[in-house]
Amino acid sequence: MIILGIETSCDETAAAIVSNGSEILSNVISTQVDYHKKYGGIVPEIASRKHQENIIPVVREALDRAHMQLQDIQGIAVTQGPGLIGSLLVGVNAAKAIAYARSIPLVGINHLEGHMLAPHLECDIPLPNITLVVSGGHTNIYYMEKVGSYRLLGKTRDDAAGEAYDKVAKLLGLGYPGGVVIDRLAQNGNPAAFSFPRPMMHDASCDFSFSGLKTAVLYCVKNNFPDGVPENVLPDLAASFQQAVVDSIVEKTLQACIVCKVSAVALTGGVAANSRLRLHMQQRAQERKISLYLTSTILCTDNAAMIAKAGSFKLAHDLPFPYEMNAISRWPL
Amino acid sequence: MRILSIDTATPSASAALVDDGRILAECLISGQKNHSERLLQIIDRLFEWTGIARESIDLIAVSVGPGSFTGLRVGISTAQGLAFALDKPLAGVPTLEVVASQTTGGDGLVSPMIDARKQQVYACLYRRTGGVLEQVQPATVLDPLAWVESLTGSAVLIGTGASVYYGLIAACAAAKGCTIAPEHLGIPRASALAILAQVKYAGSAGRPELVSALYVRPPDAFIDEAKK
Repeated sequence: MIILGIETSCDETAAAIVSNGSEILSNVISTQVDYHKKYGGIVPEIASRKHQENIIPVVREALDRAHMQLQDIQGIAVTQGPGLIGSLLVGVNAAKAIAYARSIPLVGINHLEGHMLAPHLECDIPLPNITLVVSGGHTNIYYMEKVGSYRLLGKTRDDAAGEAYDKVAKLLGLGYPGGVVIDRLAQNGNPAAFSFPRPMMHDASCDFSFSGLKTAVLYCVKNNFPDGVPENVLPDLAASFQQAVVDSIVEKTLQACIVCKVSAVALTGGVAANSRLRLHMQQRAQERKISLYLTSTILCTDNAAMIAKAGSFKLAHDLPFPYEMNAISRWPL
Repeated sequence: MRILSIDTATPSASAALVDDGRILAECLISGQKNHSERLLQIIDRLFEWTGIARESIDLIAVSVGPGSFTGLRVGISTAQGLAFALDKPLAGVPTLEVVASQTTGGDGLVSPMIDARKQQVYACLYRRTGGVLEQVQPATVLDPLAWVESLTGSAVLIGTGASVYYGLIAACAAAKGCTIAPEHLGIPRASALAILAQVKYAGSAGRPELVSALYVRPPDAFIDEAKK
């Protein structure tokens, strides 16, 4: 089955064409980062307006890159939630209209399930496994028994990891998006220069907390550099903050593997593109004889190929048409 | 010319199939939390009831605002998706002009007003001559009373903005010799939109991505930035 995936849950307008649930024929992502940069974060109303401008051109480009016509598409999968409601509405309604006009089946996908299945686009990952979805909106550890069967073992109790990156980058005056900026700056910093807490590290749960870490960075800056952080200290601060995040994520995730007696772990979501996280997870997973499955950067970030992949398990020609499908801003998986 | 028209700019949603000015079918529903659940159902019923094939329409016309941001996203995304998939031209029609076209009577000034919440209305001014509307003031968003006070002649005030804020503007409107159209006439109707589209906007219809919303009110982030 040739599936068109559409994703507009946050600030990327994305469309992709995936064949038989495995072959990515095109994967178009139109990012809006530049429009949100000066506000230091995503402005929902701006995101919605940009999606409206981009949705049809992005779908067109996905078809063009796959050398296909709309007539070749046999089903559509669209992100139905969770996410920004105005953003989701653009993708959901465009997808409904296209599927209706073409008389092809349509299915709404949970964005988190899309992320969960992104690593499966690239290789066969043993089941059951532990999958970490870590992004600007989520930091969730799942026990994945099989496709469609996921148990949430733990999540952040406050900020998502990506959110913590953005907030720290903002308070250090580093710009947006925080993950990319801090990761780059930290390359030249000493991760042990400052001692930041690893919240909930010794807690038996699989939950995270990053809000206290952000506050610790704030006070560190206030107390040590009341006149502003000198340029040459920034890499150390970035590296030390990043190490605290990475340590928390790596330990909690591998702990989940051990508790669940699972020897495979997959990383997905925007923050899973972070170079330090990938490196440390690799090292420490190896030490504990756990096989690690990393996802290509392009599939870590919000994309529509993962939505099409999730759709490949759900789409069938005899599905009733979901005329009443609506966007769902909060939708736990 | 066979037109499928869509309006979801206000708490009412409507769609119509109109053939050379003849209304074949029209459906309007009000007070839904979100038009996303109803719009495509309405459209499907229109095709089903009339027996018209989706492929046989010549043009899709959509109401582009100003109005509810959420409503506009539902309507424009749906219209864009349909136009793209059916390979039909899409025309964007200003919602205030649709409302203005729903007045009865002869020549004179018409001021459509759409409730913009936050104690404001989207409004503009048209002059009707021989049945043809000509815009004499650009669309704006402001306090309803300030708008009526700014009018320099007697106009017909029509639309959800005129009915929601009736109590606020009635005295000023009367003093200026303005009449306020009954509430039900001021709800944007897809049939009126289709007729307007055929007369005025069919010529400029084109690829669906060329149609954009007429928000009038900028995102709050822009306003906050301007205050800095």
